[in-house]
Amino acid sequence: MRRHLTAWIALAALGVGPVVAREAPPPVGPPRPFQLPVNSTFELDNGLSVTLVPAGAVPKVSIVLALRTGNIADGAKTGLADLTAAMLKEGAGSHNAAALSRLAADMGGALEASAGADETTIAVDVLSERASDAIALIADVVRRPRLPENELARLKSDLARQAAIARSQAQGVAGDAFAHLLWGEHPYGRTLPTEAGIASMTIADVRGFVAREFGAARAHLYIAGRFDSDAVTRAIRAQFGDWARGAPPARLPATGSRERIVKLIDRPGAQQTTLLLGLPVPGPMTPGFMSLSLANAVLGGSLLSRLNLNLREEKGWTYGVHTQIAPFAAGTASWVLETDINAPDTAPAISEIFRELERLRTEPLPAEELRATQNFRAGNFLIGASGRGGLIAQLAFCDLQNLPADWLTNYAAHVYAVTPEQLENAAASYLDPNAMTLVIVGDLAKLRPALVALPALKGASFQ
Amino acid sequence: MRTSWWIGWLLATLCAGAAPLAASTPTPAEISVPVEYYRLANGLRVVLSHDPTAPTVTVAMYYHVGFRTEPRNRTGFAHLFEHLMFEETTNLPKGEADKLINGNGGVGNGSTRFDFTNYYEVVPSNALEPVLWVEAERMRGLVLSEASLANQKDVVKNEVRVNVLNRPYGAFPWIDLPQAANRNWYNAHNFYGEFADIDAATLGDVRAFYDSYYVPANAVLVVAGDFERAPLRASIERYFGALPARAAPARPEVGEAPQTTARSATRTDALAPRPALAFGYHVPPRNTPAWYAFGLIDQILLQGEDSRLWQRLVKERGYTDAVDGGINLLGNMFDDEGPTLWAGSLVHDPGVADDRILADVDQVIGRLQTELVAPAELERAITKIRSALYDVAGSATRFGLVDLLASFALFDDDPARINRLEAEFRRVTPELLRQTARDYLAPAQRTTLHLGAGGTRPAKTP
Repeated sequence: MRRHLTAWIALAALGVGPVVAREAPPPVGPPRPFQLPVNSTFELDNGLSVTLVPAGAVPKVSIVLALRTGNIADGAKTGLADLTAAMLKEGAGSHNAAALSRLAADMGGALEASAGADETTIAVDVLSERASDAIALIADVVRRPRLPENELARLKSDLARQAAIARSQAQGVAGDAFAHLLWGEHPYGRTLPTEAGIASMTIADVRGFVAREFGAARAHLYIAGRFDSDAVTRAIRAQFGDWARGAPPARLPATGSRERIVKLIDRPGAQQTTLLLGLPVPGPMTPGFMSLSLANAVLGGSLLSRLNLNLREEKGWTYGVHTQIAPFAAGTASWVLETDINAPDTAPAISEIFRELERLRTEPLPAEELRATQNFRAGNFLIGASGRGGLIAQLAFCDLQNLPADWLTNYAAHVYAVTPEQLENAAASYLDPNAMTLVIVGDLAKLRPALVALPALKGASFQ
Repeated sequence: MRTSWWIGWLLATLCAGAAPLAASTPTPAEISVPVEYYRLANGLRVVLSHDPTAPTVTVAMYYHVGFRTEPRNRTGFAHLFEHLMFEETTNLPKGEADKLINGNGGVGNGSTRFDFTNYYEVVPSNALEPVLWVEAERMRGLVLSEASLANQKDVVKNEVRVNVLNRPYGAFPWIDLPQAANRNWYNAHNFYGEFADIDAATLGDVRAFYDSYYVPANAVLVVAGDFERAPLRASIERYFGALPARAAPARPEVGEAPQTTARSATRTDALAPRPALAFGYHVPPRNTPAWYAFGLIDQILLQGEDSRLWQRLVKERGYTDAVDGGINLLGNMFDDEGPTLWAGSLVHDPGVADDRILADVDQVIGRLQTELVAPAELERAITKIRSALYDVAGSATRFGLVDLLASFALFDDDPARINRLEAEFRRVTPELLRQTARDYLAPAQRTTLHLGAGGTRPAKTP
């Protein structure tokens, strides 16, 4: 308390605010040159793609094997790809699970295996001098996994527990409902496994998944950091040269819903309302994607976005609102808005969101706002490309999306080439409010009357 | 954290990795970070770390005040104040600072931790000057208004709602465990803030806090990355040198009496679908030999899937899919001045009694108290630390690097010690490690937090 009192006295003594003319911030200097690290990509005879990226100043190296399979290949058993990824860490080659984790730790790393919608990755990040050992470790895991049946029950309980936790989160519930409304019975439409589905998974399912989905011709090995190129190349050829090609990935084109749907999900007592709003949009291969991407950034892609300045900095209704474009491999993507709104402010917040969408689609974009957004995107690309993890993520993104090899080197130029008119056109053609799905998770007893009467939602089909 | 979760995610994804440079043959090397350290006449500490491998630069301002030392009748105040530092300044209307940072290609954020509050940015290096100027603006000319305060109270309450109140396991264990494990108010209060306290904060409180804690002598400025040394030093003098010298406030008495009986707390989480358990112990005082030994104990017991507790609780017993935790629930062992907790936590299925899990924890810890750790396992622990330090030094954003440099300047007046850490860990003998486990990990020194799952109510579609 005494410290507090002292501070008050200090305040009284300094009470008069400084009278200072407004001083302009110092100017930004000329841009410094930046060159993306030169990578070399080659293919082994069995179809394995390899990309080596010498990068960084510290003696570490990242090794990531990206396999073109994931939940897209779950079939009727949603989550099978996740269970399979978890099983990969349960022993491989001559190592049991404990030995695998010790081996990775001795190299200064940790073995990671995870499944996404279109891609499964097996990765380890180690001290440079252990690069060749780490390549052998990854080869063991992906080529000679033990897939022991006696660990299956435990990993199935883990999967069930993780799904239960995701379903207890408002954002998890909203995301699962949103995906299903948008993509229906396509694997993209199922984000969480069910208890019955998990119960039905067998060791034969897991072994079948590996046998069917793993293979050299559908894999890409990325090595980034500091390493001995010759030694690493030799290790790759020795460890992966005789890996079977595997079957090509199945094609499962997805067509998203463009119905105007409002889905209400009850979360009694919720102090906040979780909103997910979005629609399918074209993928990165589409001309005009960069314009759409910048339109997204202006609307909700950063702290300075219109939605964040409005709903957070002006109204104080939320901790934040965020929009993004989430691309899948199949040449399609979804545009998604996510936010959690203080419950009593739900209806006005929804109105403001649609008002900001409309403003972006119809009003000219100030040149200064476009320039700041372009700087933000180009600068953040540079920062991302300055690390080996970010580099691999960008390269893998390009490969998954079939983007041309110069996409990364020309990224900044493409960002700066977008004109205000292109950005407005992209917003007008791709971000059509009448084609959007809105999921609302909140205390419906309190929310429903205002929502059904809301002019912004007039004409939508409530579910 | 001031910004939302997705920015945190963005930063986390950007953090992994090093800056590009032509490859060369790898040679195992001790970590070697350039460190230049000096003080301005007004007491501001400055740390410069030159690294030209990418044309980006990271700026961080750390103030020596945090959750622990906020005013007694104002829980959540240090964090609320952090939000206000992004409002108006004498020469910048609200939002303009963000425009200078993001609009010039960078990202920035602020965060409140137990012993500091920080503001940090990474930008293309041609934007270094305006970013330095922004940090000086914030230190010398924060403009306070009722409208800003009211707005940020709403934002902060929405932050607490989204992270805690409307989220299963929202306060577990990071908010609840310190309250159960500590007795001194400074360590044992709800630092995210009771809404009544947040609502009660006045502009007078804000100004008093600013005038006491946000003074040059209570702060450290770190600049790491691509810069030219002499012009940078001149700019720092120009922007910060004219700020008046004022004494840094004394740190209050934050010590904890030694714990001699086990403590325990129980919470029911109405949203959680599964029970959870956390266990915590008090860490030895900073910079003592036992503290370094404890850093290795953490690696051996809890860090990575090779760790003993992971192997026992996850792999052998199958209680859970992950054991989380470590030293300092809000950072790492280096960026907390103490008293600090070491804690582990897990979510498990209802059929497993907490006592069964704790019996396993006791057994695993007991082995460390009786048997000497084998050389290979000790070496593995040091390897994990060394590998992590390389990533700190070489990350694209350098946020981890500036965090260590700032903490070592603020708490130890010695940022160059970053280059001596591995050597310090190597001094730990198996005997010291066993003795430290005996001295600090006795059952009576433990606090357990038991979370009951009240979340049987599924979300329903009408």
